[in-house]
Amino acid sequence: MNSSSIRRSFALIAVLAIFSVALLLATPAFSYLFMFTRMTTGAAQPDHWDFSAFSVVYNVNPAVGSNFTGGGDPIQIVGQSFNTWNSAPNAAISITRGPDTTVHSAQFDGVNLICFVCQDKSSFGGTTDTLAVTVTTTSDTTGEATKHGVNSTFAGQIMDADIEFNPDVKWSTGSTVADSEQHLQTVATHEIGHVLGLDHSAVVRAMMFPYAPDVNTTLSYDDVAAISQLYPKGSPDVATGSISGTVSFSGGTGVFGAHVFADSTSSNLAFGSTIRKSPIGTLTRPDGSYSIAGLPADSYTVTAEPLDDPVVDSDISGYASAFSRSSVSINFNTRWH
Amino acid sequence: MRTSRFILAALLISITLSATTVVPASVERLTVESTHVVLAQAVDSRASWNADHTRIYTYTRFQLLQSMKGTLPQSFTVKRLGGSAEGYTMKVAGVRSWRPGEQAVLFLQPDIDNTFFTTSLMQGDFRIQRQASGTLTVSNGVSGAKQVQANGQLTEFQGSRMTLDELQRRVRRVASQ
Repeated sequence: MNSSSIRRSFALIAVLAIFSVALLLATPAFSYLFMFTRMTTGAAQPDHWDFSAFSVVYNVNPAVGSNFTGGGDPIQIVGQSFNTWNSAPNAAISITRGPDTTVHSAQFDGVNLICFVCQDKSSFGGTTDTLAVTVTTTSDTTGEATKHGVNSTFAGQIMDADIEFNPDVKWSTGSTVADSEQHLQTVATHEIGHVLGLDHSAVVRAMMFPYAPDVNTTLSYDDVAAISQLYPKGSPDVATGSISGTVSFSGGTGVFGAHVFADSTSSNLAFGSTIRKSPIGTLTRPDGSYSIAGLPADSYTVTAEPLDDPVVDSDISGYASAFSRSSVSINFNTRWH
Repeated sequence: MRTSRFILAALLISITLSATTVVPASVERLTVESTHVVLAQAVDSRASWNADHTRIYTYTRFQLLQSMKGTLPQSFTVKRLGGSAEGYTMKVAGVRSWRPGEQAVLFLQPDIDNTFFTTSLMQGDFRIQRQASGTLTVSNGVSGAKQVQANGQLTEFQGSRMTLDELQRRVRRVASQ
């Protein structure tokens, strides 16, 4: 099937999708990405924790306002969101709840804050349009104080991460949300992905996709692939491999920031039934090369496409600058292989 | 990604946007929420720790090109949480920095130290791009989206990409009321 006929097929699916939620669940797209630190050598290092360097805990400021409905305990719900990531297949993550804190704003202080009545409203841009903010502090080099009694051992080491929930937003702690409410567990699970070092994904069904449905509390294959690359488990639960290649313009120049994703052509559920099946992918490097890792054994269709909507360059704000570029390349057409 | 846009759009049950997690705000809403709306060009940026050495802020100096709401001096400073200083980098997921020479329409509110912050973080920052046709377009990075309601009704958020002229018209219409 050539590209144009595939496009027509997708257009037909698109029309059908408007009428069928069931069809939508089988037709997502694209890829995971890390937050990056640019090292003095010019290389880009994925931000991540070193769980062996010091005990990583999150600290809740237990103050909760009257803006929470649904009868659930916000602190327990945040705990469930952490557990969602802690239990991701193939990933070795160790973040547990530490002592509560009275800190009420994001800062580099050795406290990984979870705060529901946050004091610094400028963090949210002065409105209720900003629901929550995640602030991470990383080391640019080795040897920086971590506030945990040891120094950093690599550039991009996350040393502090705080989540502030906007106290002027109405939060639902139940399983559903009213029109005027936001779902705490959905937002918390996404924000914890940032705490762990993940940037946005362009996979529609991924937890790290920048546009969330009302309620979405489980990880996708894309999230699992991402987090297991940052924190690989010594003995993986599921064997995985990778697909590598290069995306080039017709003249041979590599395409930087092309969105390349592998989409399973089978109904296999390698990661089990609790992980939502989705494509897995990445962005190309400055020379156009890519490697999509974390793929369970399966048959895949690989697609390269420009990052031109719905997820765009600004959604992954650090990627281009991590490679000393002002933006990614979008001046090419989508290709399927 | 063009071919999958409809699929994506219909998939969205809600148009909550998680970044940092924000709800898409219209130009009109941003205008009402902002004390100042200006077209400006970034001159330079510097990042530094606060006095307590707990937060890194980036201060970007802008040259005023045009006021659409409120009055600002020819040179003003926008403060943002995050940046790199003394071996550390503080990041707010989803928030972009400005490079010298970049132009943007900024929706601003005053901070306590004679600086300004952008309304609703990245949403109050419409970067200007010149298209091949010469038309100037703006976008704050929020894409278009559609949602299917439980009753089957389809609603649509248009996204933030538009011409600079349209943005100016919409801001001025609200600011004049």
